[in-house]
Amino acid sequence: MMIKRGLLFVAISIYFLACSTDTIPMDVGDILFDPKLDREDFKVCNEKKVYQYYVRYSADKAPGYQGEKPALEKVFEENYSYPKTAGQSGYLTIRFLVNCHGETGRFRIEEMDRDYKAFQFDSKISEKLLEITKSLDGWIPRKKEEKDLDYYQYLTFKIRDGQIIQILP
Amino acid sequence: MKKLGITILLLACTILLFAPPNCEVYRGDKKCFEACEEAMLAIRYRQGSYTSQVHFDKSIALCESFAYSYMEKGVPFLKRGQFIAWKKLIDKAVELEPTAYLGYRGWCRLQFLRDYEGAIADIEELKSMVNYDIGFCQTGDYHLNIALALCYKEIGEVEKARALFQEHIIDSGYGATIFDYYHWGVLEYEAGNYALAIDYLNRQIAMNDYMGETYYYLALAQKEMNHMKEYAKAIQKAKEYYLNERVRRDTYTETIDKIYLVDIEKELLAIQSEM
Repeated sequence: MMIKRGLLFVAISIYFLACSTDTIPMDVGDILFDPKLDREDFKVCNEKKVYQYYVRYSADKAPGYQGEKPALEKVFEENYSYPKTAGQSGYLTIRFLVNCHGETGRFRIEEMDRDYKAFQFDSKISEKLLEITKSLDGWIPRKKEEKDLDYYQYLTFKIRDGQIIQILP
Repeated sequence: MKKLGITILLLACTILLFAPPNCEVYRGDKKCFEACEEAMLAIRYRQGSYTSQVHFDKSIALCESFAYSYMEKGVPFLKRGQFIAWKKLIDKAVELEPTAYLGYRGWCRLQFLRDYEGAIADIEELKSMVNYDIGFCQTGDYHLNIALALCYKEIGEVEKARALFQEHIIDSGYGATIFDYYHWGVLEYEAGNYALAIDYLNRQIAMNDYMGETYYYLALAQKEMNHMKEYAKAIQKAKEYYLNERVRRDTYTETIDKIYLVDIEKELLAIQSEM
């Protein structure tokens, strides 16, 4: 009885998934192409399977950034500046996709205060961080047996009074 | 050997902490029993997949007090940088079963967001609520007392951090686990206690001679003590280890007190320029 119910549920789920691939993100964190936000010329190598930045239970080689994190931090140190301003504190996360050529696209921003509540930083902060993130060109694709793969990456900026305290993860 | 056995047992207990719940426990409550079974279905699917999340939603709809499903549904949001969604879910789990999830939430705040104050609040609250061992963090890398020490260290409360290392590793007889002496050594190095730093870093090497990072800080401490021969030897070893990938890595985030190749090379350049 239990197995039958399970199979029925899976069949219904598959039916709905098959009908909705164009409109509903399939997995948590999926970023679908949005013509209002995204560059037309950014191509994902395999739209059907975009991996995550983390590698679990797999022999895949984890992706990364050329020169490791210090190289990435240096880009922000050199290009970001904002006057110390009370109230501009919290976390700003930019999620995006790195394709199999190491190119980036489909950027999405999530901003929250120190209590993890939705919050909007001054647009000068968010726009600048987005601009710098878009300019990063050292992303190394995830690899599976020498084949380069697309993956989702994010950067979170821990911000205090408008200053970047840490870049995560 | 006995200590190592206890450590492995404790780590195993921690790793099992969020193992799937035993649904039989909920036999007396039909809806919550079904919710548990739905959660068991959810975890059969790829974490974060649409189908898995649908099963968690169904589980929660069946039994709104089934904390496990809130926590587990939130995990992919946490790993994929959607922290607002994660926090709402984990807060609900903590509200329902604080002693089960406070330590986990605190650890995640530290690991993913370097929210030291938030992590301290959660772990301290857990400590105030229970009179048993609060256990290890989710990854098994640290006892939560050491995670707490790391938080205090990072916000500059060195005395509190040091007291926690001392109490947990020495006074309680608990002993150190895989990375503890490394961080304690770094703490003492940063506090200017170089001889003590060398002692702890050497203890780390004796216990777990794997990480290039340990040799990097050992080198820095030796330099401060003007032990230039030991400094040069340790920094060379740090590079050798690093190039052989004998470095600390975490699947999701950069670890605390992480060192990079560029840091090591900077020291090596300094040595060369002095020669």
